[in-house]
Amino acid sequence: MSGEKIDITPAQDGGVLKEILREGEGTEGPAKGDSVSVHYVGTLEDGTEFDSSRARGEHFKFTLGKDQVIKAWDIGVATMKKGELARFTCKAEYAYGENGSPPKIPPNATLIFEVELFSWEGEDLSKDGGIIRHLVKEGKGYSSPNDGATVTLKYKGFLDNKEFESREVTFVQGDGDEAGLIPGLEVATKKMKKGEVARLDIAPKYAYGKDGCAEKGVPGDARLVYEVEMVSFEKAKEAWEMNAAEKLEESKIVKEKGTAYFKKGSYSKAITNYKKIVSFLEHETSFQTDEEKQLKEQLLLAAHLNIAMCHLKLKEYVETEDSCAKVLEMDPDNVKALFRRGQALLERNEYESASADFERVIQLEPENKAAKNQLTLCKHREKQFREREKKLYANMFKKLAESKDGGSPLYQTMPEVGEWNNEMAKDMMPLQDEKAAFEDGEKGEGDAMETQNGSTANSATVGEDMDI
Amino acid sequence: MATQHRMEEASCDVEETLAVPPLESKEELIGRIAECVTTKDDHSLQAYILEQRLAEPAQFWELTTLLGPCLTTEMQHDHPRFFTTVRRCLAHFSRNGNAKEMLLALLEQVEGFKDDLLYVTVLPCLKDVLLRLPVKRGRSLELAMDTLGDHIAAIPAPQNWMLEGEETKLLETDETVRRFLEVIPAFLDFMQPFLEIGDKAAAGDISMSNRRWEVRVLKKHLVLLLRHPLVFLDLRYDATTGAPKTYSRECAEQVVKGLEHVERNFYRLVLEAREQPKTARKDKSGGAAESSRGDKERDEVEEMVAENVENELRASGEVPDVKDEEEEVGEVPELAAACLAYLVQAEGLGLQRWPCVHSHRHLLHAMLAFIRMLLTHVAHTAVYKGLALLSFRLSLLPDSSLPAASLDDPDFTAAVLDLIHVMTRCPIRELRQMGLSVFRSVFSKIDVSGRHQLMRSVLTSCEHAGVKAVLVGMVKDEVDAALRTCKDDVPDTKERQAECEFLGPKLEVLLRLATKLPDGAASDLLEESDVVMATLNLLRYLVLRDPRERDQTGVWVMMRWIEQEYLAALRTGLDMSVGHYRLELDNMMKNTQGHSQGGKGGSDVTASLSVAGRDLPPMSHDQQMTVMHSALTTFDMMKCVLSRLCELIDAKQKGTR
Repeated sequence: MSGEKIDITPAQDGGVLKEILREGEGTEGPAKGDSVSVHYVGTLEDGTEFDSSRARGEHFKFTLGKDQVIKAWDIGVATMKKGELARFTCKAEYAYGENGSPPKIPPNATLIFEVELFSWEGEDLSKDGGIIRHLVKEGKGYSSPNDGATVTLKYKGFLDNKEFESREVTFVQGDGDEAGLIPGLEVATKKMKKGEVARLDIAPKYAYGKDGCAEKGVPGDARLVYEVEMVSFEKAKEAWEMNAAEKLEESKIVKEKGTAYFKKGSYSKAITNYKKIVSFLEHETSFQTDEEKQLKEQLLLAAHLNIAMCHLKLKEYVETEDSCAKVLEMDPDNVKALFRRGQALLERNEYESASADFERVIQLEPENKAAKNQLTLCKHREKQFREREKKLYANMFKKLAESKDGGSPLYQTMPEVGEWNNEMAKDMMPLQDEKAAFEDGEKGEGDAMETQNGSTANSATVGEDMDI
Repeated sequence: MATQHRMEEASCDVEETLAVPPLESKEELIGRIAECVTTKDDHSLQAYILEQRLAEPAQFWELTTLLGPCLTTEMQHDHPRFFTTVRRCLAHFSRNGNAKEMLLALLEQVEGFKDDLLYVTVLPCLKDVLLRLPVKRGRSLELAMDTLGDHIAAIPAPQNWMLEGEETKLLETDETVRRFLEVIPAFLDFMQPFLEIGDKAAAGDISMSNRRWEVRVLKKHLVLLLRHPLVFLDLRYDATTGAPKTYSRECAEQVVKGLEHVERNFYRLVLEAREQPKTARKDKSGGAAESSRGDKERDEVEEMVAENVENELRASGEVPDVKDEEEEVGEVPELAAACLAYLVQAEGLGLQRWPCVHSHRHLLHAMLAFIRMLLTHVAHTAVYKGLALLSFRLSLLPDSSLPAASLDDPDFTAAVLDLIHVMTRCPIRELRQMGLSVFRSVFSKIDVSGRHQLMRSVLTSCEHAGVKAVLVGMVKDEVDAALRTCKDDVPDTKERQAECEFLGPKLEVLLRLATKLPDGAASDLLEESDVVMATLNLLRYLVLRDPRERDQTGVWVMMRWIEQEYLAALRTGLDMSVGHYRLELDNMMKNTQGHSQGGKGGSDVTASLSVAGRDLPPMSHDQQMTVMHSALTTFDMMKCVLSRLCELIDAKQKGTR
């Protein structure tokens, strides 16, 4: 065997000739996608050494079969066994071609590499050793699922070589947890090609974590092995790939998705979906008919409003304000936007601006009970706030006075403040009334946000555009 | 250096010997030397310290503190002899004093970013001291390097990047650049002996394994030099012009040579800089997933605990090896890696440390993140590096060899957008032009379907009429190429159209994008003139090249909407624009007459333009007139091409009927 030159190119064109200088051990070789560790010495045909990992004094590592290295290497190293030493004679078409790699490699140069294979390991998909992929069967083409793609997957899960799960599942990339996929599988599918079969070695942190999964019989902190086949997938279109009509269609779909998430209470996921609408439509100007234009405006408006609502739920008030501001740019008298901005402002203790927003709502819709309630609440909180402020200052003065001397005139005036306070409370509504009003408002508003049900007979309420 | 000192000393010994009154106490010596310093009396100083060697090692620290501040630029200028003597005194101290003590004394002098000359003068002394330290000098070296590195880091980056053509040579005369070029060679010279020791450590000599710390320190500081200041300097060198290497270039070569001593694989060094932050982020998210959602507090506490442990280990001087490995990686800033990538690939420095087995395509993708970083940098010298690196990587790829899937790399499209930014916004003409040529070569290297995809994405996202015009021009060339390849066999047009990226429906997509006027007929056609002209040109080509009865390109099927939506809007738009500008011109003419009579000038300025905080003077009347006239000429040209195109379309349509 030794000394014999074998053509190892699939095309059998003599592009890469292999000569085994020392046999390796075993029968297994590295697979595509494995991280391979070698030593090599590269020389030109005239014997000039142009590169050597031995001279650098360290192993050279690369990922096999990923076009990371010249073609001759991807073909050649894949034929090697552990510990093997081989010499490859590589024609330019399998090396650096007609351009060469200046200044070391001249154009159209045949290269001779002496390669020694030391070891290999599976591809580390998570870059922290958490998900290791061993390719069993290579997939077709170049593309892999992007976020939002519809993926069909067949997989078997093994725990200590015992199968605990086997199924075929279709899910949307990015929403895999809904289909009961562990995070590790979803990370892997994003890098798999159609028809690919791979064995995945997944650490607990990308699987069932510390707690395990009682239902499937997986204990805590268990490392799992999955055999996965990418059956098929349909890529989600990128925004720039769609035409105007497609963008409208897609917007409607994401809107529904967003609303579904909203109902489930996953507000941040809802936001990502609604934001897609904005990215689809914000700068799209090529709508022809008025009908389409109107639809675009409607969708955008609803998206911003819903984003505002979600932020409000997440107590992200600044973002709420921003989204409302966008709506009000398009429609300065949008009641829902005004109302939501008012709520956000109220939460941020911006009482004056909040009142202004609620008052505007009432001006636009004199029958709007929710807004009235909010306004009362706002006024009430403002008073409370002032009171607290006063007490705070009073305390400050008190301390100040005490520190100077016990009987300062400032200190003497303190009791008066209390009296004055009570006077202020005179024309406030009784606590019970107020509480009732508050609850009403909460209820009315809350219901309206969730769905546009006829059951919320209160037509004067605002914010009902989670329309389905 | 050291022998030189010694010779100087020897010659001085012979030269003149001064009678010095004997000393009574140690304090007296200090007093007398202080006197020498005030009177700049080099003879006495020499006599006290160098010749009679009166001073004892115990006093060296004090004397260093006393003499150090004399090493200033002014002193060298006003009292050169005194300066030289002081320098020799310090050299004497560092050779004969307690090494540890002298190290600290000398570092104290260098600290505080005082004087470059002081810095340069003290460095050889420091080197001597460190070389005298026993084997365990890692910490001392680190201390010294940190202080010395800080001095360089404190020199501000040069600001005048706005140099074009021959002017770029002026960059070296910039004051901060001159400071760098004075200080860095001294710094490298200082490192030299330690780097050579590093070599032995790299060779795997076991006795040297305790020097690993040293190697790491040296590497870190060399890498930092790449980020500041090398990325700001002009490091080009073209051997073919015969011009000598610039000082900056020499400096860069030295830095890379230094790095060769301490790093075996530059490719890995560069790539690790890119991967590091990513893994860190992944770790975090992974950790968060593990410790059920929202458990931030606990995470923070854990982080703090881990940090504490680390700090303690560091304080005790025993950092575990694994930790070091991580630190070492984290020490390579991305910008430094980008600069190194440029130096190795575009300038061919340090090639023996760059493996020569990677495919060109892989290297292009691997470099994109760095290219983007350089292209978006404020310094134009850095932008040049980005362009040079990208252009170099592209030049090695055969035409049409990048598959469309390359576009899946988000860095690819992002880099193209960055490139467009340079082409349209960079104030330096050379770089804009270079950007354009690189832009064209991106398209030529990618395969046809990728080309189509990229054109579509750029036409959609880019608003700049000039860039769009370039793209439309490319579309024309592509159509031409497509028509040429499928010349004779015309069995089924539809089938072939579906296959080809630049015919039929796929061409229509591009045409729709090219013919899009931002505001229909009301668009600012002057602004859009470039792309309008290019599009008209493309249409004219299609109409002439592709006879109606054959219609290989499918343009005749599209003709209805082209005429209705584009050509018609253009015609109206042009009429309106011409009318508008004529009116404006008339008004201006009238105004001139009015002004010459009334003597009131330029009062109707409604807007002012300011650049970099300074108001530009309003355009003079004559300038305004020129602008109006040139606008009208542009419109005339468009009208001309437009009507010619319409005639052609009519003629061809009638011809077939």
